[in-house]
Amino acid sequence: MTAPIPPSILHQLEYCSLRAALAALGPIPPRWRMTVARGLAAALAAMPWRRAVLEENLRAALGDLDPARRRQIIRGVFRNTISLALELAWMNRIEPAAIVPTVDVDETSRERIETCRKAGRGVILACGHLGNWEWLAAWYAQAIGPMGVIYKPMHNGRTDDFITKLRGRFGLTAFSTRELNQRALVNSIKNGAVIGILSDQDARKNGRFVPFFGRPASTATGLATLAIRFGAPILPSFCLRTAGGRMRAVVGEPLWPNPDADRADEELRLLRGYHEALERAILIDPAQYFWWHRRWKTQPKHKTDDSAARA
Amino acid sequence: MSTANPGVNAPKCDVRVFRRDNQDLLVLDGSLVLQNSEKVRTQIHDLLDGARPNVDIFLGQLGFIDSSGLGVLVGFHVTARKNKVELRLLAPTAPHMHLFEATRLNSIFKIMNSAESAPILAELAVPEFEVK
Repeated sequence: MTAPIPPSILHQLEYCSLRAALAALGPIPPRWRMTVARGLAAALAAMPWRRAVLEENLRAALGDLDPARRRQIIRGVFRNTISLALELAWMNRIEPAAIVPTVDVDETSRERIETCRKAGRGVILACGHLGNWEWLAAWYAQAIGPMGVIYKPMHNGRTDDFITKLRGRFGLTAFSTRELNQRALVNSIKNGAVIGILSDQDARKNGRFVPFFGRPASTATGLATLAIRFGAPILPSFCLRTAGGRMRAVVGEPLWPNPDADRADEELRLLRGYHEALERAILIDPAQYFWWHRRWKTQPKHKTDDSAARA
Repeated sequence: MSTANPGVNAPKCDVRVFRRDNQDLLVLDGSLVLQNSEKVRTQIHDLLDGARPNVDIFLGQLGFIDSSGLGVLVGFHVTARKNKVELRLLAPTAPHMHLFEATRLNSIFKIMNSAESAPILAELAVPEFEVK
């Protein structure tokens, strides 16, 4: 266990602002969320903050769009980011079970979840920063069964504790990437639990290059490593906003690890499969993806690095 | 994965149509199987009359396709070719691709992966272009 970092004044301020914002935004009823988000987005979208990153990412992923359509998607990104904050505030107030009826799941998705669970080897729920990933995990823990999430702790210990407690309210077990002893995680998977991981952020020099919208993106290998080690299927799963404050779970085709394959090749195959599923889910509504992050920041030094040449 | 799941009753396949200028985009959502293939065939067939030279079908949200569903896609290809419509299949999943490869349909369909499909979907799959 790493020693807790004493909170600095800045961290205290950040934490207090978060709590104040949650207290103010939490009472907004679900049916008004989108209206409030739209209003705030209209004001914030005019600000230049990280605008260049949004523009660059959208161009990289979706090509040279019609300027009006690009502006529309950017406004949508602001609206969805604000919606995410409003939804977290709401989650902080509700009874955990109240999340269950808010998510629509089609039969194919439900069947994919059941097929993976019945295999009894644990399931790696590969999420992405699309729609509301916290909602998906909370819904899963309440509606389907035991669920844990692997997360990278925030620098601000107080905020991190708060988020961990929020997840705990919904029955989620949080496994920190900084925890040296991962026995609890291993036991959970061996007992058939579902473990959620977000694997769509730039992994810098530690990642492997996987094509994401045709460009090599450095990707953490943890997702594939866990799946291969435990023989657990990877289930690409996302939670997209729909009308009236509701959500839709989109569950992709399970990716089953092949124990006989070369480990390095298999890692790459699974990571590619996950990214393809993520791409398809993003294409349902590109404005719901978290385009703020510089996903392609790290680029291969040589074209032969990993899959870069095949991207 | 070429057969419908027998455990699922009356699988649905929603068809959404987006239209802009000379291009139609069809989004199939659900499973394309025996129980709904005729309905989907009827819904889409008229769109391939040649009035629009480009028709794209987004498969990214489609789960199961059985042989009957595959027949529907082949039927669209035949009708499209007859009416000089360019038909493309967008973002099929890995199981769809295995199915197309096993049946060698990948050589007759023009297939675009999700990265290639991205600009088309981003421009067209917008509420204002949806045909209700």
